[in-house]
Amino acid sequence: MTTTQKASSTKSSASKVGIEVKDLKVHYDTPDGVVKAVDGVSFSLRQGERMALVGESGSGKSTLAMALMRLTRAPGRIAGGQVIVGGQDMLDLDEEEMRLQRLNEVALVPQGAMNSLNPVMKIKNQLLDGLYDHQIRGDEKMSKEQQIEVVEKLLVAVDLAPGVAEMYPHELSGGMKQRVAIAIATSMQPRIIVADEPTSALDVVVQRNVMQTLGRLQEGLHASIILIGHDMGLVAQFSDHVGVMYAGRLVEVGPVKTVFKSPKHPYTRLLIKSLPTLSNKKDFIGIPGLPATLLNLPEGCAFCLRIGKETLTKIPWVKVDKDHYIQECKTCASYGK
Amino acid sequence: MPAVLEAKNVTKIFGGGFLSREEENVAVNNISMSLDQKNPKIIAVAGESGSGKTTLARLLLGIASPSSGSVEYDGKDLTEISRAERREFRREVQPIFQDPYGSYNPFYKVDHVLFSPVNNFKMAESRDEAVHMVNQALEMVGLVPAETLGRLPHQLSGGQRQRVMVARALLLKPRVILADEPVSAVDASLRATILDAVSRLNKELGIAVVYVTHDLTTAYQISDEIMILYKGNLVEAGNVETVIKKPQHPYTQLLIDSIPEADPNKKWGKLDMKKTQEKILTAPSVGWRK
Repeated sequence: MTTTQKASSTKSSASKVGIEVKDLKVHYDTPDGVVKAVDGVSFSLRQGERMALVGESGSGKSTLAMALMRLTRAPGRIAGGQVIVGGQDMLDLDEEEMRLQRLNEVALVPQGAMNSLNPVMKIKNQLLDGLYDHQIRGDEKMSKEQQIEVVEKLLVAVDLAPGVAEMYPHELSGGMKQRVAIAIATSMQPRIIVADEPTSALDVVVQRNVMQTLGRLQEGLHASIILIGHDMGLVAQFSDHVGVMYAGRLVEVGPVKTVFKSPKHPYTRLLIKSLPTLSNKKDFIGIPGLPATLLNLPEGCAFCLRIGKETLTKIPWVKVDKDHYIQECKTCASYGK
Repeated sequence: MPAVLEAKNVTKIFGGGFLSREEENVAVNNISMSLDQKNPKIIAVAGESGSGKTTLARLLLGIASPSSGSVEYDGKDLTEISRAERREFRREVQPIFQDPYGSYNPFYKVDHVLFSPVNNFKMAESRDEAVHMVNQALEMVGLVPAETLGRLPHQLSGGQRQRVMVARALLLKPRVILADEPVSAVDASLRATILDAVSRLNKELGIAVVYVTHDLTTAYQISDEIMILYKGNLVEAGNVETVIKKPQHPYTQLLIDSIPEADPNKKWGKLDMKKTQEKILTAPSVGWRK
């Protein structure tokens, strides 16, 4: 599919589903048993919308991001489910077909772009690498002029000077490297951008700049973005929807404004309360207990275990508002209110 | 009465020596601060990477020596004190570092980091007393001794490891705790518990705290005073309430404006980036504010 064709097809697909994830499972086989890092996650996101997946470390959010790209590495394996992008279940594709989908349909802005760039390759070659690999311009090579033009366009789009093309990664600051990573991720105008903690290593002022650039590009492409992170502040400011993960499962999904205004799951409530703010000095308490260990986790409510309770029956999804769903466990529902 | 720890116009310059081709890098430029004895406070030293906050912390700890100016401990210049005094300084000024894992030897149980300082500084008369002290310190930071002692570092969570470090510092009955980014390697949900422990040491035991951080929100939550550093310079300082609520220096304003608040209705980034950055270059330091 050429870029022009795709651009027109995205326009007509406005307000259509961008990505649909159904009952996705990622398991790690360990000597002690199966670790269910992602345990039956389902959600869908419309074209052009932003969704954030939040949770503590070990909640499975990065594993989920990798699974969406089908980049899960052994001993991890995708144990079931569907990831549907543009009507195609990506888990059905063979390795070569999937390789062509990456960057073209789904692209990743990796965590800590510092280490995702090749240290001995000029930035321009790293930008062109993906394009060549996916043979976007047919089999023939681009002329020098075309190369310069494409690279410049990509760099300018992420607010970098065209001169960066001739530089090596070590000559760039952290923020600039992250911008290059964004340029690579958007170079083929993907439908879905998966951003795994894209700014966790950056200073706040740089973070704000980089996120603005990412948001602007995503809007321009009318792509959907899945932002993985633990910074609830960033989530509140950047995304339209939020999914809260706990112990490999989603426990609450909804529009950012509703979820922050009236979180329904006790874990979401605590997560928001544990955030320090600049306006209130009192509301700053930690979440008691430790995150659940994912080994041999029971079917029932995982959060109950953290607060010393037990609910063994499977927890149902309950709709509380428009687009707002929670895993409603009767035992812990009112905890921390 | 002299201050417990005081930096007097300290400057630290890296590089730019006689045969060096590199340009000089002024990491800390003429900064003064003092930790009062009578009225122990929590002072936050805040800034982004490259602001010189860690260098300032190292100067205060005596790990680095200033290019000019001096750091004084009980009124005596750190570079001139005797060995015995230095040993006393090492006990009374306790650091807590960023990476709670790096402070442990992975082969030793966590007991090691707790008991060896007690033995080294002869803090306890007997083994029983040492055990009692360790238990007390662990409880003070909200840990259960029975669930903590006897374990290897990797068997504890990041938050627990860092709290053991706070307990370790506490065991030596310090007058000052200098915490360099103690929670930035810890999950957001566990930060509160660690910072709460640090703030209790200040309130209940009267230990002065220097909290070095890039995170203005946690600084605002626990500290009494704040110093904002930018490229080695102190641009604004004073009462935390005043500085955060009514920032005067454009850099402080930009920092506060850039923090994403966990409230979707508050707008993020209202200031114009380019204009503010131009202002920062010319704006004079605001100095200490009441």
